[in-house]
Amino acid sequence: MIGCGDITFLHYNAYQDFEYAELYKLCDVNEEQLKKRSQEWGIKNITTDYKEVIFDKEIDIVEVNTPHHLHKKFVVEALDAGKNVACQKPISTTIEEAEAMICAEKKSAGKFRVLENFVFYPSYRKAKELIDANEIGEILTIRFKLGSSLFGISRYIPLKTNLWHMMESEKGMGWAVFDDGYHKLSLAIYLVGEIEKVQGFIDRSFRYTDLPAQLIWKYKGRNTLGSFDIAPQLNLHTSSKYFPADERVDIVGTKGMIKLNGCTGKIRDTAPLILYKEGKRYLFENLDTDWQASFTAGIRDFPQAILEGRETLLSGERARDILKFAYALIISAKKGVEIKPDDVSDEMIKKELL
Amino acid sequence: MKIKIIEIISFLIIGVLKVILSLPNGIFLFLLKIINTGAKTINKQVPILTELIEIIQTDKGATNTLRNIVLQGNYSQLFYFLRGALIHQVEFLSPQIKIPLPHQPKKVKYPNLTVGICGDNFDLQMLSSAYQQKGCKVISYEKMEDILKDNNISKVNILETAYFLPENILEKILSQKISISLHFSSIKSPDMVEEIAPRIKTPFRIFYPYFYYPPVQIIKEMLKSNILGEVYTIRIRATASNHGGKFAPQKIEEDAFLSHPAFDHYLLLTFLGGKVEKVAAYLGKIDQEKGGQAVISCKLSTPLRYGLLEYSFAPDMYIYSQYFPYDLEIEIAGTDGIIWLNQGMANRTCEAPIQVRIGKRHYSLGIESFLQTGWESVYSQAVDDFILAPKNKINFPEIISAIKLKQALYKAGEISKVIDI
Repeated sequence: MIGCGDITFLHYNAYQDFEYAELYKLCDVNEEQLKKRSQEWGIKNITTDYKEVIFDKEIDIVEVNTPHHLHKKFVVEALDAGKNVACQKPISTTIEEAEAMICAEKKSAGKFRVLENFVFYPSYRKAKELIDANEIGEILTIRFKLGSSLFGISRYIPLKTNLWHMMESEKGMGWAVFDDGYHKLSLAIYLVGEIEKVQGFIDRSFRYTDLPAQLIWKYKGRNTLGSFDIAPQLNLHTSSKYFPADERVDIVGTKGMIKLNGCTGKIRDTAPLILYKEGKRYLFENLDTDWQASFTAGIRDFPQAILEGRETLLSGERARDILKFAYALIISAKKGVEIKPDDVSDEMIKKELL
Repeated sequence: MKIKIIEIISFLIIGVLKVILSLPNGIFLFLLKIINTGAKTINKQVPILTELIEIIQTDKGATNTLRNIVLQGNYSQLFYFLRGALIHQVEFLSPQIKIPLPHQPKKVKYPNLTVGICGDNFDLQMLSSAYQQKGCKVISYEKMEDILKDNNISKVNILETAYFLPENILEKILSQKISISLHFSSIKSPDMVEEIAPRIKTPFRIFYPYFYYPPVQIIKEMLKSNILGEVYTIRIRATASNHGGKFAPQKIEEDAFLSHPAFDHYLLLTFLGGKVEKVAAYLGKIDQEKGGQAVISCKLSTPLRYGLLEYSFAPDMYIYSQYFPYDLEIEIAGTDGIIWLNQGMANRTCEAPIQVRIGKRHYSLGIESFLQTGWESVYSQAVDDFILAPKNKINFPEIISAIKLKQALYKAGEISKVIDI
């Protein structure tokens, strides 16, 4: 693991009692953080030099959990060394870097994927099953909600974690749409399909954060529309062991509806998935609602895929498309015109945002 | 009273913070160290204090970011955040949150009133019935011109009309000093309201059923009391179908659907959220058999406030209703929490009509609170409000804004660009 910051405790948990892979070596430039993780996790194999990870023959998979703008360097070098590589989302901050990583995978003996855990969250997978089984008919609208709170969390999130995300707004990105929003955009594609065009509004709160926001889009090749609304709900207690985020999804189909209630955090006691059809509500209450479950499934999927010789869902190409989707939303909101994600390029990003 | 005190404290805290953060880092660091020492003395570890001290000592960039959040952030947002934090997070300050109680229907009758009903749409039929139940005499006019022929018009006190008033009829009505209630569907342009409103000296309203739907009235009161702090997003989802309700299926004509019933809810948006400034839209094809939808994203005039209108025609969805199968859901999110409206005309689910999550609390308003939610209560409420309220020129700026929004939507959908309203 290269990068042992805040989020990585979820990765560590995923490797516990996992027969197909073990967490073997930790690497971070911050020695204090490295020693802290080493003590917490009981892993003595540590280094501040990433090359000791990439060129270690014992290592099959390199996890890159560094800040976004550093992904390319580690991913490409690890792939060039023949390693399998998993990096955290988003893939990068530029399309060029994303393409470089995709290209490196093609030349490598190793596989590459970009971890995004929402598509492994049990109630979202169940929703996908129900949609594919035509339980609600053709999808007409899908709406994503993100409410961001400061209270209700059972752990301390270092200020620096939040500050770093805020500063990304200054570089044309942003915490709510670009970073955390990646999960919802990924889900938008996973549950329905590819995005054709987008429009909307993104505002600024407290100088740095990209919310509230109200974004809409049209899907390719089908009569389905999507939306994403983001609100600062700062004083709303949002119960969570991870991040106090109120995340909900409403899907309206020609013959029914699905409501998904909560992921990272929860604001109400209600079933995680409710299906409405034929005048009845079906409450799916027996789904694991712990956010860790999505990390565990998502992280374990990669080594299992390698061993089984199959592809994973979270390819570099997919991650690049989500990156374009995010930038399309940000640029569209800035310019007040519709943008097609397929048209997004680094030139456009540089011209419009930087 | 307690909330007022909290608001004053919030104002003072922001003022003090702005002063301290404008001074060199050393002073802020000094104050933080004192507070941290105090906390340690009473055996309390406050991680954020320790981290703040470390950041100020070692990270200039992060320190500037923190400083800018307060100094350059939106004042109102800071104020409402602090206000809400003190209300909901500080136990000893925590005031009693007042949730408005539902209005109970008035049992009074109005036997001396005569009401003219001109037109025959569903709302007017229900209004006619409500007036009769309240003891009023009701005279029906099929067309506007019938009013001119009727000698009894001099006895009419209130005219409910589905048609806009042509000049000659308006003159006659004004000369009789009749109170006028215009059905919202008769208003085709904002000019119509702007021209006619100043001339009418008697009570005058534009009737839209949701203005009188008791749960919507309660929500409006909650918003006025700042129960959510600052309101940031208002989402209105309306779904119609071919099944459920005695008036289903209704023939859907593609263009008409986007006007009614779907786009009626632009009035709800402005009623609850205020005027609309900009709009972006995707308008899908609507088909009786295949369904269809539209999503509209709005920037409201109030800073940092946005609206989402989401309409769908789900042909095969069963939506239980005593009238039309029109399902409604509203979600309003703000600094301190969320208000949901879970039903409108239809009763797709049996959840409580209003649910509120604010701070650490949850409130549910429905049958347990004697909240009237049957659709008939709309018309009963509408009758009482118009007769008993001394002035009824309500919400005209919002109504005008809603009509402008409706006109702008088609253009926004056509050119796929944000339109200024």
